[in-house]
Amino acid sequence: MRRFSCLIILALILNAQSKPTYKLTYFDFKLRGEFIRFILSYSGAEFEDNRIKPEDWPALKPTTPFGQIPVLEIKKGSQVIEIAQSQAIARYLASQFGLNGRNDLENALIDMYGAQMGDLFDAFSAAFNRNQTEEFFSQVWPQNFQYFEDRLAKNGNGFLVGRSLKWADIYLSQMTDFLGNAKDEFLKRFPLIRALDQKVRSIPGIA
Amino acid sequence: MVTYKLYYFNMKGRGELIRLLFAASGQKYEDFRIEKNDWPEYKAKSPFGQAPYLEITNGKKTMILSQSVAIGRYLARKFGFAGKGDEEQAMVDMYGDQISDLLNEFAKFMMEQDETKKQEIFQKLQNEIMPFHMKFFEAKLAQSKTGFFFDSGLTWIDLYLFNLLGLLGDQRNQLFEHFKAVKNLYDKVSEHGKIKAYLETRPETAM
Repeated sequence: MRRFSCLIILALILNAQSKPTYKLTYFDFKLRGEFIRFILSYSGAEFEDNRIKPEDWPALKPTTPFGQIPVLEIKKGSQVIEIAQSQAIARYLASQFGLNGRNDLENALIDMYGAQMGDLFDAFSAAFNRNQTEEFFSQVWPQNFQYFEDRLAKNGNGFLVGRSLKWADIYLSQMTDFLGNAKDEFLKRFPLIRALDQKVRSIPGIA
Repeated sequence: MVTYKLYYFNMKGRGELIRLLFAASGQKYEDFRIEKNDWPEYKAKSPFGQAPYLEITNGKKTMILSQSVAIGRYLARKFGFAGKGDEEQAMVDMYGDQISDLLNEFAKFMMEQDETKKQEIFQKLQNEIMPFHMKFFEAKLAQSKTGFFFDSGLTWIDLYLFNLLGLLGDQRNQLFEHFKAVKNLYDKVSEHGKIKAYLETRPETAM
């Protein structure tokens, strides 16, 4: 009996050691890091949310894969892997934690919506830095949100793709934060996106 | 039986990655090139009002995918050019996104109408942005045993970077003087069996 329980304890220790651990390095902003934090929180995995100060960035920059953050460090047994680029990180974590599609086609659709959101974010960032966001609020956001709203309507179950939450749903929810004070008013026109956002934010772990 | 129809303009641009993937795999597809005047009609059919988009028909079911990299990754997975294992695929994705960032910078240059601004952007591209990104690609390629980004063999990002270098025209020779492993990749892809045959027969377009 004692030998058996020793074996169980050994198995538990080995299992714990072989579980990957994650460290996300990003500034203490939402921007490109927050939706990854959402995904990690959802996963329940052990992760270190390494928020760095702008003044510490220059020293850290050369140690990163592309001189940019976010970067995800994955420790798997004795392997250490660093992944840069927020969508690559999100897709990887999604594949580990059931937030990706059931097949290649679903994955492609999720990637497509994720990529469109990424483009939107890049363009909004650029416009924001030039103080030229009016076109965004009058045309670009509404047009893109309509694509996402139409997709939600077509899929019919509150999610963008398939039958359950995917990383692109989490990304979309996070994107709505960039609407700032205009968010509530804006989302009145997009009830399905609003419902998705509320659903994501009420998930235990993310809430 | 699944059939594929690619909708894009008569240019390389963001569509060529997809054409190169079909070429590398030997998979037949319809390479539909949209005339500029006909664009409004096809724009209405595309998921996000953009091209390229890929129509996938399986019996009676048809699906349309948008976003060139999402399409690229989907085909890469199908044809075995995505990388081996989740971690390597994440790293392939990471380099892919970085190449996209560079392509987007190049696209800004191409789309600028104002001649003075265009020159400014060109200088910045040539002196800062290109070298900044190429440095990372060079470092990765220089480590390779196969001359491709990853030792496991050709992946979609080899084709993606090859295409971007193609868009640079003769300017790439200047780049090749400083980035030998990048030049080696360009030559390797050019010589790759099925791709070489495709390159010899594809329509000649400036971009």
